[in-house]
Amino acid sequence: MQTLHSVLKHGGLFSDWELLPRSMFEGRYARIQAAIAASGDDAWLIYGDAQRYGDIAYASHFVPRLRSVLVLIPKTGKPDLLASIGSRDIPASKILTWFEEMRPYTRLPGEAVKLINDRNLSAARIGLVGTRVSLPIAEWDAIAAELPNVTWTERDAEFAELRRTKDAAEDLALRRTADAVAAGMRVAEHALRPGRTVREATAEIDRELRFAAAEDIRIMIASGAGAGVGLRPPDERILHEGDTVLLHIQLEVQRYWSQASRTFVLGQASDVQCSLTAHADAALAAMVAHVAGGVAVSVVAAAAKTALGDELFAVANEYGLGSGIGLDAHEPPTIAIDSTETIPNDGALSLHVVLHEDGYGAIAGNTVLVRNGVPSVLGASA
Amino acid sequence: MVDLAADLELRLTRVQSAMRAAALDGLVIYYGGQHNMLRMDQIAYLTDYRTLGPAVLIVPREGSPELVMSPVWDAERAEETKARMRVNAVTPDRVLQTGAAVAKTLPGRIGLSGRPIMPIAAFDEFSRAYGGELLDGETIVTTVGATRTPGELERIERAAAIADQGFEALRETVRVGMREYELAAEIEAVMHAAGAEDNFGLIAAGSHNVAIRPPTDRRLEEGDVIIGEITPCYRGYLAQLCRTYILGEPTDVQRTTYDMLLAALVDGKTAAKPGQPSAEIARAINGVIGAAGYEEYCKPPYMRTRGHGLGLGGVVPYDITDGASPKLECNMTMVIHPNQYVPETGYMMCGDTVVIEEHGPRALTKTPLKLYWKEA
Repeated sequence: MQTLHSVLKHGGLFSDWELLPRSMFEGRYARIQAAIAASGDDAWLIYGDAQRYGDIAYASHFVPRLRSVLVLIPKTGKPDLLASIGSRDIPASKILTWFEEMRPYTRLPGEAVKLINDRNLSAARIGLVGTRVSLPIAEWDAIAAELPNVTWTERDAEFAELRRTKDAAEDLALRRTADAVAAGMRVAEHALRPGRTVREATAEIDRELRFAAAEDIRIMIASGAGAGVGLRPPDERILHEGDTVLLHIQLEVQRYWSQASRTFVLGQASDVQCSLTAHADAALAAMVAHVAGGVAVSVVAAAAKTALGDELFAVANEYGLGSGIGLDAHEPPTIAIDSTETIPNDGALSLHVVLHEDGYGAIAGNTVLVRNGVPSVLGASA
Repeated sequence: MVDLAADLELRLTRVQSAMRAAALDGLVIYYGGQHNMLRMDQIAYLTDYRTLGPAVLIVPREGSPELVMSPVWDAERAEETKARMRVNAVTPDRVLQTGAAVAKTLPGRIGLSGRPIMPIAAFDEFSRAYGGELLDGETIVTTVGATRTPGELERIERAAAIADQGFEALRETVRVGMREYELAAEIEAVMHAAGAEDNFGLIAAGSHNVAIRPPTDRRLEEGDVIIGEITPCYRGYLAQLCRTYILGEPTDVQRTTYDMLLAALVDGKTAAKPGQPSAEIARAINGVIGAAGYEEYCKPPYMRTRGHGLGLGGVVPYDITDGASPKLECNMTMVIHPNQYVPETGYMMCGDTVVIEEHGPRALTKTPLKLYWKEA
């Protein structure tokens, strides 16, 4: 689900090497280099920024809190990481990665060209990851112009394939984030109460999430008459007795995202409200019930459609039904009727159903881990 | 309370006037939805709408702009702003092509703002769909938006007041043993409840800080120097407060160093006069710190900037360095911060958000200027 991007990742930024050990990254690095060799390339250049950092974090564990990052991985040998930071920021930034080398930059093109020349790759074949969707055209033009003898190849698909399967250590990271989301939902049960503003209520939830070492928090919410219209970032609306509140929490801890969505009623829920909430819950349950390794994603989406009927499904579809989740809040596969993708045997999905009908609203969502093809709902206690 | 509709109309009128002066018949503004302090959010400046994802605003030289945005379910939030515009809500995969189609309906010379942040794929898709020449329209809105309108200033003043509340929260909640990110959470919660939707917040602690950084899981210790760059965002507008707090009684050298920073701030503010280049602020600050024997520490890698424009993201005069050239004007807003690393104490922070007025700057952050510490 789309959310409002934060001006800075301003939660706790550090590396928990017990949760995600260096040995895991060394294994990944070996797999990346094997993939580079298999592609026939000499190196891969991976670009990411604060909005889309998953490829960077997969290789390096680094996360840019604000600007952008470029990682160079040669077919053999050690990697380099260029970060848009000052040299005085390096000590604090190095704790975020297992890479030994980190170079600061203020202007990417010049430093990127220098790095490629330093690594004797100025006439090499270099695969690009994350550049088309994130690297600004102006910076790319400047880099490409300075390196006329490099042969560039697109390697997004190859890198996505590496990330498609999540290992056991990632499971733990996803569970930790999901547990924090669940704790946030439990706080919401008393934080959302009549007489206070939505922002005051979400401040309390936000505090709980930050105490769980959140790196980034996204909350979307709808309340009162707005519950029948659409989710939005928290605002100054005052909560009233009888309000329905739709709450979506999306959280990042140790680079891994999780999300959950719940419907709250501040008082007695009407029969209509209960019915709509039951529809959302049933559609979510139907999707979860159809999740299994190797199953077509379209089957999961179709399960929601069957549970909702055409009209409500059209509403839910505006928000989307979810996607893969992990180092990015939105990863393949996208849950959609017309998708041709399948569910990985070992992966994670974020599933959600948002409904609005006749002035009423309901939401249900969970993060679902798939291990050995079998799904389990994370943070289900909330 | 400023009439927001009139304020937004004033901004649009000024931008359209600047377009005519630049012989542009239309202006296409792209924004990727990655809100930060590095770039002015030009779409929010004209629409009061902060996008969830990529969006394109098409501004004709006369008449109402059209906002092409996504997702469709966020359209009501865009439509309920007080801005005069047409909202065209589309699915995420249609934003660029629809934006290009709307831009094509404008005759004449069309400028583009946003190329520096347009990803390769987005630029390719837009330019292919548009098909024509797009002129450089990068500085039309940033130039007009160099000074704050009354409506903008009202929001920055509110953000500054929230920053003061944030530092008060730091003073009330900080204790030995808590983790840095827990302290940040306490500050954040107070500011969030007070109306801040976001925070460009950095907070660090240690016996000898090298620079400001994000909070980590480190536990606070007796004698720690806590440095904070508290930067709440209120309805898109940022204000910043920099202060230093010591978990214990300051040493004499810490007091002396901080007195130097306070004196540098006074001189920096004195130099912040309309008509002066922003570099004068940096030179004044560096003069005080250099005279104390720390000239080499006024340069990289120790120090980079003595402040920066603050508003709807990064605005003129941008970074305040001794080589910066933008001239200060009334109603510019910025943070002036003689934050400084010195070998004896490590990094200490001190800075206020100000608005430039006829006779000099007026501080919008009100937290008294002094070195804070926790008495036993």
